Amino acid sequence: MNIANKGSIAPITRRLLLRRASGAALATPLLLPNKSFAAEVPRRVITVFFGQGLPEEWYPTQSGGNVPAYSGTMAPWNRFADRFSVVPVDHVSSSGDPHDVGPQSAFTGYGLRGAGPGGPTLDQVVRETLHPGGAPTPFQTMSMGTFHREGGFIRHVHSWGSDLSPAAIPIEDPATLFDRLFANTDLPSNTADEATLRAERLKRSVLDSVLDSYRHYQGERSPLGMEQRTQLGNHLDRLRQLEQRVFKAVEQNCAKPDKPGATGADSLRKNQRQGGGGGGTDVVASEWVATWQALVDIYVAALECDLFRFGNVIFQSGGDRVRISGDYRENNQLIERFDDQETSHEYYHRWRGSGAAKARSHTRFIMGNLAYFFEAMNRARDESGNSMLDSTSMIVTTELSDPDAHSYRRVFHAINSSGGEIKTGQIFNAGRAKNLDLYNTYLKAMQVNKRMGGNNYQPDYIDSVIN
Amino acid sequence: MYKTFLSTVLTIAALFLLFSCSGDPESTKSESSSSSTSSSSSSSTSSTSSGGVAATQCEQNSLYGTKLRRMTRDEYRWTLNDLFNIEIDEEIDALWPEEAKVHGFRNSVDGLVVGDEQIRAFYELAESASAALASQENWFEAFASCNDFSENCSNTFFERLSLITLRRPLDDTTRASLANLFQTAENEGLPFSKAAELVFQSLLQHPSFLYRLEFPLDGSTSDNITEFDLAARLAFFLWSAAPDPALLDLAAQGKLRQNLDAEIERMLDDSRALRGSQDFYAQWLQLSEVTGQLATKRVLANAMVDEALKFVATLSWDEPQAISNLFSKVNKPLSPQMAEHYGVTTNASEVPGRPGLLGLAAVAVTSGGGEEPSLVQRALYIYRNFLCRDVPDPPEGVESVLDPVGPGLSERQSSQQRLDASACAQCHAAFDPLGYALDALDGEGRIRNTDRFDNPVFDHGEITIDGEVWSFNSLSDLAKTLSESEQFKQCFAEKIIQHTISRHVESEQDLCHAKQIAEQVEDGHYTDYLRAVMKSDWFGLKQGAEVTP
Repeated sequence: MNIANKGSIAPITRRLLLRRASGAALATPLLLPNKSFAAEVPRRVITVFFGQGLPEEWYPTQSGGNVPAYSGTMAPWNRFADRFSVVPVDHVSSSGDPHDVGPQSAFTGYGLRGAGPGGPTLDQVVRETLHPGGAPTPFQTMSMGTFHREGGFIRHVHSWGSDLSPAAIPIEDPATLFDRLFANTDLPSNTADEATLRAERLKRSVLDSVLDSYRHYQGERSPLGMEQRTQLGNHLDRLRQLEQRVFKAVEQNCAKPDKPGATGADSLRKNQRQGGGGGGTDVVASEWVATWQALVDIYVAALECDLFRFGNVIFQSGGDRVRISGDYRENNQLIERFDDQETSHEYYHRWRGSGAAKARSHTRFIMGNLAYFFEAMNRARDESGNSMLDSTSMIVTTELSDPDAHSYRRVFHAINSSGGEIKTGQIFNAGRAKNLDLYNTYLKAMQVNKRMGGNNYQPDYIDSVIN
Repeated sequence: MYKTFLSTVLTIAALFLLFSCSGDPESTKSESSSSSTSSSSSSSTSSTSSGGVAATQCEQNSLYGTKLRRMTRDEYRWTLNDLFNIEIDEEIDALWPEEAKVHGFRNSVDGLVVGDEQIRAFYELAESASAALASQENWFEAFASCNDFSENCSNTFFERLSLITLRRPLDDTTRASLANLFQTAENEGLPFSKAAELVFQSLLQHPSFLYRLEFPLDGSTSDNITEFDLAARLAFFLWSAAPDPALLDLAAQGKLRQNLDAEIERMLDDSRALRGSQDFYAQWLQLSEVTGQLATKRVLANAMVDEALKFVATLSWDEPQAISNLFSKVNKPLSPQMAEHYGVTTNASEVPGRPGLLGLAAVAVTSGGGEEPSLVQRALYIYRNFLCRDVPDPPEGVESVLDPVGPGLSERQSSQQRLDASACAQCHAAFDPLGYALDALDGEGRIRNTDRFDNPVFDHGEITIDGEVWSFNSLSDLAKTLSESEQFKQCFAEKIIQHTISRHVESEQDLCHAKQIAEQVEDGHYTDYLRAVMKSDWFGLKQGAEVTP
């Protein structure tokens, strides 16, 4: 499914027409920026994680100033070789299961702290710094992806706030993602029937009564202490944002995707539950791809509609075990005929030996699917008409550099232009720089006045990547 | 079994009748609050059921912090089930974000953050719960003797439902807000039953339902919390859920404190106390990590957790024994699945090498098992959970890329390298050797002689705790030393208190009260610890100034 090609544009609502006709005479919804009149491109940060790790031996490590050539396992990257630079850096690590440590270090630059993250993720550091009162979008953060839950939460959540709470839990089901992003965002509209409108009015009344109670306990006549009132004030703020998401009309001049039909996501989940006795999940390649592509189409469409500006995309979580069957095609060309007898995890543990061919075919599959996301981002346009693949700040990484020995050294990181702030089309050798240094370099390039790693950490900036 | 909705319904009617008999609810509130004495029936320094006497004297201030504590996922689930017979487990599991562990517990006030996902969960679950309640025919009749939109009828309904849901009498702001909601529903042409569902949805998102609000109802300056708030503390402590109508009934009469002993015994006799204890043990032992670690072996993971919960339930309730037996008793009989996993028969008279908690597969997994058992994590697990000690995280930005273990480098040898390096040894020497003992078990709790790289493993070791050298030749040796140690008994009291007050036990005052309870209970039963906590002076006191460690 490709929304741009299908041209499934949302119908223009009466309200939108009215607003356009009367210009500023009608109020713009409070939290929704109006792309039609916006000139400035807002900061967007999307991180991309893929599981299983990526050995250095599988991608070019020297470019000599030329745009590197990717082939074989990494062939799908070739289309985007000039849009990213690759900077292998060490994941800051800690003791603990390597498939917890690596994924958690990605985008935080911290080892595990207890069983949870050691620090906030890059996307949230930027969001909280630029928008301390909340970003002016219906959703603060949105994450999506496909993964198979080999472990706990820590392996697939990649957006953590400074309070170390998950800013977004990745949504795996395209229909759920669609409902979350689009289902309630254009109500009430002139196409809604009376029963729907009444249901919405009643929902709003319930929420109004809830808001009243928080206002009471947060307000001056509250019997509670200041700290408790502040807590309830935070609750009240988030409730108001929820109200805006649920009830304010989205009147963006953007492409709204169709609600997806069955993509095989159901069978993916069913097979997850059936995993056991040796573990792992049985996946049909075509179903996985269809689910992923539906998620990507909805996610990128929502990004283009400015429904959110921060988030994470994940293709497999740390340590996933999958057995793929069936044909994998790209543009109708057969790429791989899967018939796994063991899980991917076992193949990756033998990536230097008997598992090499299978592990490479899995990575080729991952890269092909990531390329679909990059292509969708490439087609999407920002407020200035530029490709969102270039104007959105993006970092791509994985859990490990050696899937057998579980090494955290020189882990693959790819960074894009970030609106011209970062040099692209190169391989940078950053020596033993840490991922924390790369993330801080990114913040510096963005001119975001915040550093990661705590007050005592002195970043070793990788200035050579900054334009 | 849990209290049924029917019995809740019957009690609500009686409770409301009693409550409304006072005429002005405020007069009852005032009476209940002002009649409270300083925990008149709570004499924490006197003897307990286990016969101990505390020599330690502590300042009598509340240990509860000033931060608002919201419900946990399980508390929410169980409260809906207990009070309204609502089961929406699937929706709760899907929507409610996983709670972060802070100092090992998932009910810590610092971990119970309220982000956007949580707000959405509250919102959507209120709708689901309301729909589930609506499926019970004429559910609202338990709270309303009429079903018209008259002021009298509406008010009765609001007051009855609020009292159960919000755990306190209805305040004027909420009353007005619910009246507006009712009016809207009537204007939209909804019948009374549908309007009642909307009220229920609203109350399930009310701060007094979701948070543990505590404040005097009449501006009283008493040091004691109100009896309604005391009822909530008791219920959330013992049952991990909101108070039942019987507790609220006594609170409404202002008679909870004077009947405290009897109420505690009633609550301990209720099966919800077993559930509450399992909530405590599961958090203390971090059993939820087992299913995460063994996500692809859920049946086995569940069997491990069941074994652990059965073991502690037996020692706490079925055949109550002193708490030190948690490390000396062997869990038996084994379930067929666990016997097969351990490679023994279900009727084996002894299960060698498996001393109590330390011998459980669930503990072997959650302490740092998985694909490669981490000696450091396992050592820290014992150090933090059974000795209540801690070490700081490595300094920020410190070089912490570790050499992976492999052929020729076992976890123990890697540990020895750390202990030989003075910079690492400063901290690691204090706990690393504790992990040696658990090296006897592989990542899934099976006894082993070699690790997965064929390196030999050894479970002997030596460690200094409080200046005393603990030598052990086996896992069982370490378990025996732990069970006999004063450090563990004090630690157990600290963990019970931590679970009670939802924050880390760390200030001098906290530790003093933990010591006092450990002295009172004298290695008593689990329920002795519970009684000691509930009868402590601090348990019924108002929150003081913000607690600073």
